[in-house]
Amino acid sequence: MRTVLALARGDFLERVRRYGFLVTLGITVWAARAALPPRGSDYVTVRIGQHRALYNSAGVGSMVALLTGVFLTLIGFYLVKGAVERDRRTGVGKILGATRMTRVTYVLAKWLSNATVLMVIAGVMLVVAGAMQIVLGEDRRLDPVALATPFVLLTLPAMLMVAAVAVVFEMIPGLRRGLGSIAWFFLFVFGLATGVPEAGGHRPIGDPVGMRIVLPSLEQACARQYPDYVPGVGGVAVGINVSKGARSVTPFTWTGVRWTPQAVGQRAAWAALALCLALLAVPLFDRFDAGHAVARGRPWWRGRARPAARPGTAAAVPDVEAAPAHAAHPPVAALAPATRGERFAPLLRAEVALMAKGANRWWLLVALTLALLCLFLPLDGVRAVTLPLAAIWPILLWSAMGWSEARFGTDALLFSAPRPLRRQLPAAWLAGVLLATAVTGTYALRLALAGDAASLLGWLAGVLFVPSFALASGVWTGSGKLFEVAYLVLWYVGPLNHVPGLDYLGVVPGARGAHLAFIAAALALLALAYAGRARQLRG
Amino acid sequence: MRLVIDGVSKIYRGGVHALAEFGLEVGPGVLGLLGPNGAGKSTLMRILATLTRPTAGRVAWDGHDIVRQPDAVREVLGYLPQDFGVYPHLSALEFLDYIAAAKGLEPRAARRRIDELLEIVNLGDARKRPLGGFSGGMRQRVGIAQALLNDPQLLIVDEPTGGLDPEERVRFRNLLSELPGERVVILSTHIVSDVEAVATDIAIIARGRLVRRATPEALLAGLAGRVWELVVPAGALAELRRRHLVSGTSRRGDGVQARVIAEAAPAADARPVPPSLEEAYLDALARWRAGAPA
Repeated sequence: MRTVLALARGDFLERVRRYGFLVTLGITVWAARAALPPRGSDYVTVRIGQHRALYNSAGVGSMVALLTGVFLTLIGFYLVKGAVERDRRTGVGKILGATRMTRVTYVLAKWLSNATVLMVIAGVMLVVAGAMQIVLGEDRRLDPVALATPFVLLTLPAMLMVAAVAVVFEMIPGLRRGLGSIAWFFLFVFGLATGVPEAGGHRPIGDPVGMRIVLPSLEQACARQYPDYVPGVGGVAVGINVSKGARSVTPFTWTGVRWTPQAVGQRAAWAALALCLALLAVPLFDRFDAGHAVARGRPWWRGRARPAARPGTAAAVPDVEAAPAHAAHPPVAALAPATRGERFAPLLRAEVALMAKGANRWWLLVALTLALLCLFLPLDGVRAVTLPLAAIWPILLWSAMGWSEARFGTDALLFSAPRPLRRQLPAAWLAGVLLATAVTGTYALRLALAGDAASLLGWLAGVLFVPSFALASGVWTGSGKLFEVAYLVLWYVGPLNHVPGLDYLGVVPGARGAHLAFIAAALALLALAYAGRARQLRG
Repeated sequence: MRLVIDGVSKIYRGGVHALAEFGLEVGPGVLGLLGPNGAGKSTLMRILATLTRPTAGRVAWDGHDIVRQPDAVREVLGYLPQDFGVYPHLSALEFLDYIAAAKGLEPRAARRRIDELLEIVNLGDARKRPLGGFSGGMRQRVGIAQALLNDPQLLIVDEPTGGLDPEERVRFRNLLSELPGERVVILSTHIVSDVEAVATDIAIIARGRLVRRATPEALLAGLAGRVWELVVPAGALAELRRRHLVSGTSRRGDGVQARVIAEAAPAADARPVPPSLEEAYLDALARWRAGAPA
């Protein structure tokens, strides 16, 4: 156990001593404040019909704990995922793998470290929630137990669960990187969040956050004070619920959940389940054995591995036998001359080829199918299904933009080449634009043939916006995570659910203002990417 | 072709001084930059490669300030960093094609040169293999090839032989020696034998400062008559180390044979021997640390 704690401590310190963690805590303070909108705000976070709980300790604690549970379940996963990958990348894993450390020790340490990071964030939410209770002044009597209990019984098990899933995903080669991020988003949306508003009514697939414990209690308290509210019918909503009626919601007094042994047991069961899930990762852990990764690590979508084709498997590949030092080779003085041309096309071609290397023939086959469906299906069907699918299909190729130099350590080679800002960055961006055009271009062709200039503008906005967003996010964060998460959310609410203001691809016809806004955003993001790269070049 | 480094300092965040008013003028030939770990060699190399800006001072390539006009040097630069990566799914050929495009080379001419360079670094047979499967030494050879892609006038190689086996190391040294013409080569390393083999000039750096600049011959001449060889009992070695700079030891049946740097014979049976470049380097560092002229 001491080893687990020591490993977890080291891992935890490595994460929290980063500048990014400070930013995360800053956002956390803002989020805690936003979770408790004052009276007269145009949104409510936990709405029970046309009412909400009074901001006493029980109400504030439960509402913020609930929201922390929901949002940190999604975002927290992306924050903590990567701990094992970091050990793999930095080489620390090889050192650990050569010690007496057991697999269980390592997995539990990573789980514990993940959970601690998430609980520190939740802890900040708790402190700010207490402060907000006093600031908002609806009930200034601070009851620390009533305030903190929901965090312990609602948020903690959920965070333990998220921490465990992150470890399991990191142990499965196919889910280690971008595909895991996408999978978690869909798990969250379809498996967890879909049950939230109706939690008091029918049973959602899972309830790691404890909605089914809190919301019925809130409904009953509301119904006692406002008899017009009928539990299960009046409607509950958890999240940022913007509406005109939000300004007139009325508070009701609620003294918190009655924590029966059954309710506590339910939450403890989630914590136990999280532990079991973490332990599930133990047999999947390869102890940083590259050969092990070759045998079982190639993601299915990359097709069958050719021998010696995997990164990090040098040991499996015989070195090219060194020719004797005195062996004849072409004289250096007689090498073909290096003619400089500074043409842009070869660099663009090279960037496209580099991007294409991230895909395989199955990926290409699906992309081609989607392009053809965009060409031949009825336009309504294309807008509803095919176009959104085509817009999400290349997400992992886009998410590599702007940071592949840092990821693979080629930055010193590329940034010391002439004009990296005027040549390499535009070429990388244009490769992303060409990719977007390739997967959705048939749709644009139909629009052009039909003379639908408004929709064509929407398509153009998307084709410019997505690579700009990917590039800027990659350059500034040095990772593809932010783009993957933010783009998934945007795609889900925009092109897929047709929220006009967020439809960056022009799926909803006629939203000209939104199209122009996205073109402007694309240009702003491109400028941001330039600024970020210029900063990197200054060292 | 002239590289002028004038009073260059680099202070990292947290107040870490990597370079302190470092100055050097480098002309055609191979300059071996020697120094202990953490001396500031890689920082200097990154500054020369336009990847890091100096906090103070000026670096000029043929009169052009490389901070203000980085492309003046980038166009003629070949750079092999100490740590670099490759795109694992590209083959050696594809990777070099990509770097050639980034350097603005004409594709057709570049392809011919890539083929020849791959032969030179002995990767001709592995040119189509994905780089992800390459060993450390093979990757290093790809790095050497990319540094020579644009026929650089300024070649900066930072710890280039790490990871190379002895034969490949000799091959690389031969390659550096063969580089023709008026080009400036800076070879940064802490492996003295690499410098000994190819350098026409040596600069010793420690704690971010220039300790000594001389030709290998001058460094050796400065130490002539001050290196001694003697055999001592194993138990007396610690005392010998305490009193003198011991540059090497080897076990023998009758004790330990030691090489000692000293102004006078450290023992009656000590005999003078010709100095090695490694000893000249150790002596220069020791003198500088003691505050004596190196």
